[in-house]
This record gives sequence, structure tokens and C-alpha cells, in this order.
Amino acid sequence: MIISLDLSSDVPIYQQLRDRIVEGIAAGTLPDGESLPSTRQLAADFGINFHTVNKAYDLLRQQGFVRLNRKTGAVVGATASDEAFVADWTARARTLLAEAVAKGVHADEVLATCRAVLAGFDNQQGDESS
Amino acid sequence: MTTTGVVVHLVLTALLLYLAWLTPSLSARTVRFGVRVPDDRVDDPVVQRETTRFRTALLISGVIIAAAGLGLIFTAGVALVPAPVLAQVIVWYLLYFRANRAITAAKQDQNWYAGKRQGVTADTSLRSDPPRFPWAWLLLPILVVAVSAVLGIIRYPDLPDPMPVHFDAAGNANRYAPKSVGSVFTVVFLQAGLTLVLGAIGVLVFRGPADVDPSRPAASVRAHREFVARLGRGFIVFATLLDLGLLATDWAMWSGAPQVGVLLPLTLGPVLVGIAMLVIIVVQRNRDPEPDEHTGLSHRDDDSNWIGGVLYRNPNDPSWFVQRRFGFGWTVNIGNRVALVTCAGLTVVVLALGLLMPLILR
Repeated sequence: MIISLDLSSDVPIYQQLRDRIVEGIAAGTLPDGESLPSTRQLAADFGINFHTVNKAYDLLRQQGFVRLNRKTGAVVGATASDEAFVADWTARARTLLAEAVAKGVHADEVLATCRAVLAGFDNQQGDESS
Repeated sequence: MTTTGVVVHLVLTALLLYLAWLTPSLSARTVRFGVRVPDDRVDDPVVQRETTRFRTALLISGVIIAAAGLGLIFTAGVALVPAPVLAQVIVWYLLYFRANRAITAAKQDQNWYAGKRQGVTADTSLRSDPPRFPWAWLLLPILVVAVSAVLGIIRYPDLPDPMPVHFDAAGNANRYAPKSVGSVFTVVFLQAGLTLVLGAIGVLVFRGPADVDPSRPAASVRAHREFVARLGRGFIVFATLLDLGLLATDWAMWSGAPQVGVLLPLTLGPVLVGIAMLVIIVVQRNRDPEPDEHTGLSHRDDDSNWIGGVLYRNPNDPSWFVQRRFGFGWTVNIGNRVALVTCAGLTVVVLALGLLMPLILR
């Protein structure tokens, strides 16, 4: 999976890395059981501090998107969503939707965008398996 | 003797001049004379002007140095052959540095990075599914070394004692040594050692981090995979050619005759073919036709990590080696203390061995 980090963005690099990996898992470009490069390797490939990569991996592990395997390092394996996750995710979605409504984006447009994004993940998953 | 010196001088100068001429093609696409430029400035008029200037000045200086070198050889002898080569390298770097300064100035004046989103890109598949080193190809040089060893064993009983071990360019023996396993198989050991070293470099090339261009990631990952695979095979073929060239020397030694006819072309020919092949592989890198990728990201402006366009210092980069900007190859990250200490230590060990070896072997 190709991961690009925008260094001019306001979003911290570790957060961007974490987001891209979660998106990769959703799109199926990082299938279940796939091992991620070691923090040192990935940091060397990006040419960034390895603590940054470590922080992103830590976050992914805490949030249950990857497991740490003693032999193979970080392995993709998202845990099923539980109540706490759904509650937290709903709160964040609420903020995101509020932003759209506050800016006057129409409800239909918001829903259409949500559907398009979800379909996008599905499509890529189809591409991967074919 | 002088004729050989003149030929070697002219061949070396031409080879070096050609390599220097290729300077703009040897670096990554968005590195122009050691300056990182955004994707849309790769063919900027300033860059084109500096490339023309660099090449014109290089040709003029090359002709002058070649002529001066000839004069030097005729007046002071062949021992001075390295002097013009050294002068050529210095001029090469000075011209490069001049172009580097000019492009840096234009970049700052016109603010080339204004409004550009700078990024870094990596491909996890290069780690999870890395390009495979072509181990099977290693059979080629190993076969040549094995054939050399077998030939040596067959010839051993018939060899005179002392036997010729060194020849001049015309193929006349000019040094003899007592017959022993050491003297008969010196070149075979050299062949095996070279094969080992070049094979190891090939493996290291496969392990090195890829410099993925954020403005066209998929194309640059594709190019990296292809380049690494070709360079790996290239190093093995180069080792095979070197071994073949050395086999000519083996054969001359093992004929036991004081006159073996043409030797230098047989030894140097394969080496030159090998160097030409490696140069072609390097120059053809990044020759992907315009890819249809518009990520909106530019490679990050990392000039501040480069001192004079030659030394790389970035304590935040865990890489030990990065691709060089001047010439071709890799350079150590002097900001990484472990890498620096290891490389300095290895250099000291190799130098010490080189100095002590003649004393030990005496």
C-alpha cells in the first residue's frame, strides 16, 4: 500500500499515518493478517523520526486495528467494534456532520457523500479480490 | 611504456568525462544538480540553462585537462597518470557546485516551493513483498571462478618454478615468483573475493530504502522495483565479466610462457563492457513515460540536510544510507551516529589491513 504524508498539513504526521492505515484496512489494500513494516523500516522509507511511526503504531494497537506479534511485528487484525467504540465513533461523526450542517451543506448531499465514500471502500475491496 | 600510459590516460579521461556529462541523468528526477525542485520545475529554464553551461564547461575543461595530461606524461613520466584524473574530478565537482548554487538561488528568488504541499511517501509492499534478489544468477560468476580453479589445478603440475606472475601491456612477463598454491591461485582468490563483494553490494541494493516521489508514487515504486532488479542482475553480470577478465590473466600465468601476446585488451575489455552496462542501467532509471498521476504533493524540500550537495546529515532519518546527489551510488547519513561510527570503523579496518597485509605476507 502506498502511503503519502502531507508535511504541510496541520494534522500531525503520526495521526495522518494512523488515518491512512485505517483507510487501507477499510479499502482492503491492507488485508487481515498482513504484516506492517517495522517502525524503523517505515521511518527509514519516509525519512522521518521513528518515534513518529511508533506513536502511530501505538495508537493503532490501542484502538484495536493491529495486533503486535512478537515474531512478525505489527499485523493487521481489526477487532470487532464494541459499544464503547460505537459510542465514541458516533460522537465524532456527530461533530463531523455538525460541521456540514453549520456550513449549510444540504442533508441529501451529506448522505450522498457518505454513501459514495462507503461505496469507494467496497469497490476497492472488490478490485483487490478480483 | 609511454604508449600504454597515454592510452590508459585517454581512456580514463574519456570515461570520467562521460560519467560527468551524465551528472543530470544520474540523480533522481526532482533533484537537479543536488537541489530538490518541485515536480513542475524539473524542466525549468534555469535548470536547462545550468545543464547546458555545466556540459559546455565540462567539455572545454576535459579537452584542456586531457592535453595537459599528455604533456605531463611525455615530460614527467607515466607515474603522473592519476594527476589529470584527480584534476578532472575536482573540476567536475566545482562545476556541479556552481550549478547547484545557481539553481538554489533561482529557487529561493522565485520561491519555487510557494503554495506547494510537501510530502513524503512510502510503499509498505516494498517491505511485505520486497523485490527478490536473483540468487540463481550468481551461478554465472561462480561458474567462471570454478572453471578458473579447475584449470589452475590441471595446469599446476606442469608449471615452471619460478613462474611468471605479472605481465606488461604487450604480454611480456615482467615479474616471477616461486611456485606455490598462493602464487598460482592468487588471481582465483581475487576472483572469488570480487564476486563476494559485488554480490554483497547487490543484496544491499535490494535492502535499501526506496526514495518514492510523492507526486507520482505508483510510477516511482514501479521504477524502483525495476531499477533494483536490473541493478542486482547488473552487479552479478559485472562480477562475471570481471572474473572473465581476470581469467585471461590466470591463463597467461598458467601458460608458463614469458610471452603471451595480447593480454591487456582481454583483461580490460570485459571490465569496460561491465562499466558501460552499469552506466546504461543507472541512466535508464526513471525513464517512465509521463505517468497520469496527480497527487498534488511535491517531494519535501530536503536541501537543508545536504551539505554542499555531497554530505547527508539528518539525525531524524533512521536510514544508514541514502542515494547520493553527486555522481551515483549511496552515501552514509552522517547524522546517524551508529551508521557513521560503523562506517568509519570499517574504513579504518580496511585501511589497516591494506597497510599491514604486505608486511604480514612478506
